[in-house]
Amino acid sequence: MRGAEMNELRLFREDGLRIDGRRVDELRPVKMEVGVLDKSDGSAYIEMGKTKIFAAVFGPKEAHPRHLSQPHRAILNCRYHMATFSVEERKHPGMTRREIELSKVIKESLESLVFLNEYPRSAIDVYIEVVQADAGTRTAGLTAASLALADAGIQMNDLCCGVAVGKVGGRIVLDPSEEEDKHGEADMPIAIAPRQNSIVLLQLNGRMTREEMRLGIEMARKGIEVLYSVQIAALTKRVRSSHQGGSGRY
Amino acid sequence: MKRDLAFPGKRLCVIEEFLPGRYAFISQGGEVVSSVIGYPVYDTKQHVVSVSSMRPSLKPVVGDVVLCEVREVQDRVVLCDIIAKEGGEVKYRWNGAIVTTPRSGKASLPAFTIGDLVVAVVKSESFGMYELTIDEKGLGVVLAFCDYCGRNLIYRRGSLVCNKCRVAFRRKTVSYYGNREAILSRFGLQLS
Ligand SMILES: [Zn+2]
Repeated sequence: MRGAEMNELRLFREDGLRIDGRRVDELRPVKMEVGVLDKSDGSAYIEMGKTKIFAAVFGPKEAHPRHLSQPHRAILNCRYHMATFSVEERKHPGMTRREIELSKVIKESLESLVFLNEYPRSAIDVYIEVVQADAGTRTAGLTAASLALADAGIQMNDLCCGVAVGKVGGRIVLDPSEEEDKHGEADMPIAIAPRQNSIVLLQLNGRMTREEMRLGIEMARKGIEVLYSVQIAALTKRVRSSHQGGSGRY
Repeated sequence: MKRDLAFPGKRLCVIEEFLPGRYAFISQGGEVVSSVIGYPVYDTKQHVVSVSSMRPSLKPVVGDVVLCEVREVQDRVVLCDIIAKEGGEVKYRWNGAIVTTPRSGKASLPAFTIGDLVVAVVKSESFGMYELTIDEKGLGVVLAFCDYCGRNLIYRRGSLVCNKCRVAFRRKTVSYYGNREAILSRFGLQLS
């Protein structure tokens, strides 16, 4: 456990708070905005700490190429991508293996929210562009994507919010920052559809005991309630501002 | 009944109070829930709650008057792209089909040529295919092309003629046939 002890020294302050001054169950500062891009059918922006992500939705539209279209439902395409300037050393602009995997994971989560059978033979395209990456991008991206889908008027059974839980220096912490993630022992991204109360994404990188995992999910649930209220506030603001002649096609 | 803003997942009422209408559904717990952002509309007579979506549909819906371009002419069906609709936006092109039922005695179908612009009404939608009709009044071809040389046909005394080929075609036309401004303004289009 030497590593964990080292990390405890490195990542927790003497007063027990985390290096950035948060409690173990505290989110980073969150900001969300809906309808930030004019050219797409729906869009959203999210900031969680230093993580900054745009999500844009196009469709429903006819699926192309046609042989991919499904007669009874829509196909949902998702592209999670990190901008070349989103990380400290320039990332090559193509899709990495990690980005392809995350695109798939996020797509599957979104598919559980969207009423795909309402849009036969159609395609819905979701683009998630990370402009600054500082841990928690898949969950923040998913949170923004669900807002962008709602903004596009696509029928869904719920929104969804995600946050990661980490094990850092032997302790379970909510919404780890990059620094904590780098030195942590485990990372568990979780996304929940809050009103359906269903988990739509859960991954675990590293090791946690059953008890730690239970604690982590509990912690994530509380964080997600906070994120959900921010989502609702952002949607409400969007509707109000569009009534007052703001941009968008409402 | 409060008229709070609804959004996907927001509970509207229980099923004993209202049944789900447009943009509402029944959750596993038997509650009626919104599926979009919008304001709920409670119909106390029919006991149905629907949500008026903040986003107009980008897809054509049944009853829409649409402008379409003929893409393929077959024996019993004319396939076309829906490119615009009256009083709304169609952002993407959608497939439509004008089905022609051969009627006894009459020529089965007003002929179309690939490229013709047609005003039609959406009769039904099934699995993403739109069935269109031009049978009602005020529907028909707004711009047609010659079968032989591809020139614009000119409306003259009840038929469409090609000035070059000196051939007349019979097609069901609208009153503003060939009037570009009328077509563009009616469907909110811009010349590009
Ligand atoms: Zn001709």
